[in-house]
Amino acid sequence: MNKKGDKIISVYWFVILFIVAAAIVYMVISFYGNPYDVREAEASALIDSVARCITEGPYLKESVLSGIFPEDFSEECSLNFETEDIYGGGSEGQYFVEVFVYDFNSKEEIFSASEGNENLRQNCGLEGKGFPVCLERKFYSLDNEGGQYEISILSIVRKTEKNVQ
Amino acid sequence: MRKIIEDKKGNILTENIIFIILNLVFISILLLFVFSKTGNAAVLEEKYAKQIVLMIDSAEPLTVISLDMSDASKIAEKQDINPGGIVSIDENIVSVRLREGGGYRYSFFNDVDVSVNFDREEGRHVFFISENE
Amino acid sequence: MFNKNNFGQVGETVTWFVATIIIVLILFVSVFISSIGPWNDKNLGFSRETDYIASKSFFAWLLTEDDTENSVYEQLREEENLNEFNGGLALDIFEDNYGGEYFEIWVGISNGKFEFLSVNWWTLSTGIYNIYFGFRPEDIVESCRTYADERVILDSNRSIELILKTSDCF
Repeated sequence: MNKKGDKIISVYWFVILFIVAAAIVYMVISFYGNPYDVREAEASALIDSVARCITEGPYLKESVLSGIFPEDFSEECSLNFETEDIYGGGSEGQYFVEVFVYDFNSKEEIFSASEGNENLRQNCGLEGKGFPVCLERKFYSLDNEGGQYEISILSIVRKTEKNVQ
Repeated sequence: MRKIIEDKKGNILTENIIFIILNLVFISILLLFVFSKTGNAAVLEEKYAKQIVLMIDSAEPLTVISLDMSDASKIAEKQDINPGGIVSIDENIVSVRLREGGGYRYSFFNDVDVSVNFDREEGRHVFFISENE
Repeated sequence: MFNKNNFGQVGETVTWFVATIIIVLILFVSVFISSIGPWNDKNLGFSRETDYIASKSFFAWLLTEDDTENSVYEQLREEENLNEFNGGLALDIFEDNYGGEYFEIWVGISNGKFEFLSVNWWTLSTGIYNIYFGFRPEDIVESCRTYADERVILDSNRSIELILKTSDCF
C-alpha cells in the first residue's frame, strides 16, 4: 500500500513540475517574443532633427520667418521616410511631422509645415496596441531682431509591425 | 522477514535516486531553455538593429560612432559568420545578421550616408556618418 | 481504528488538494503579472542626460533682451538672482513647455557654496533660492543621472542652471 501511495505522489509531483515548467516557458516566450518598442525615442529624435533644421543655434532661420522655407521640407531637413516593405499603409506611411511657429506673446501663427502620412494624426491620443506613437514638444526661440517665438513640433511614428506584438 | 526488510531498503534507495535524477534532468532542461532565450540571436539582432538606427537618427553628418557588439560577434562566430559582416546598411535600412537565414532589418529617417567597418583590434563596429550626396 | 484511518486519509487528501490549488493560483498570478507588467513592453526608453529642445530654449532665454536691450544673461551677471522679467519669462518657457514632461524643473543661480535652507533645514544646496522655481533640487549628482541639465557660467563663483529632473534619485 505504501508503494502505491509513493507512486501516486511521484506522478503527482511530476504533474506539478510540468505545470510549473509550462508556466515558466510561457512567461519566457511571452517576454522574449515581445519586440522592443523604440518609437518614442524615434519620435523624439525626429523632433530634434526638425528643430535643428529650422534654427541656427537659438535663432530661427530667416527663411522660416520670411516664408521662403519650402513647405515640403524633407529635402531641406534631410529626412527620408522610406521604410522596409513589411509595413502596411505603404512604404512612406510610417512617419508624420508637423511644425508650427507662433509669436510668443500674441500666439499668432506665423509658419506651419508638415511632412509624411497625414492620416496618422487622427490616431493620436488613442491608447492601446496597434496605434502609432505621437509626441509633441515645444521650444522657445528668437529672431535676429529680438522677436520671440514659440515653436511646436508634432512627430508621429507608426511602425507597429516591428514594435508591438 | 529480514530479507523482506533488506529488499525494501534497496528499493527505497534506488527509487529515490531515480526520482532525484529525473528532477535534476528536468530542471536542467528548463534552465537551458531559459538561458538559451536570454542569449538568443534573434533578440540581439533586433536589439542592435534598433540601437544602431537610433544612433544614426540622432547623429549629424561627419560623426563617427564606435559600438561594442562583442556579445553579438561571439554568437555570429559560432555560426561561422564573420563579425565584420554582422551589420550591413542599404540605403536607409540597417540589417543585423547573427545566424544563417536570420537577420533583422530596421529603417532610419535621417537622410545621411552611413558606412560601417569592423575594427578587429578594438573588436568594435565603427559607423561613419556623412552627408547624402 | 477503522474510522481514524478514514479521517486520516481524508485529512491528508485535503492537504494535497489545497496545496495543489495554492500552487496553481500562484502560477496563474505569476503568468498574469508577467503578461501585463510594465517590463513586458520592452520599451527601449531613453533617459535624457541632455535635452536638445530644452537647451535651445535655455540659450534663447539667456539671449532675450528686455526693454532696455539688456539680455537675460547680462541681467544675471549684474544681479544676485532672477528678477521679474527673466524669472517670469523662464516660468512661461520652461514650466509651461516642459512641466508636464519632467518630475521637477529648476532654473536658477548656483553658487558652488552650500547653504542651509530654511524650510528643509537638514538639506544642503549649492543653489540660490528664487521665488519662481524655489529651492534647487538637492540630489543632483553625476552618479545618479536622473536629470538633464544645462549650465552657463556667469562669473568665477556663479552659474545659471537649468535642471530637468525625470525622477528622484533613490
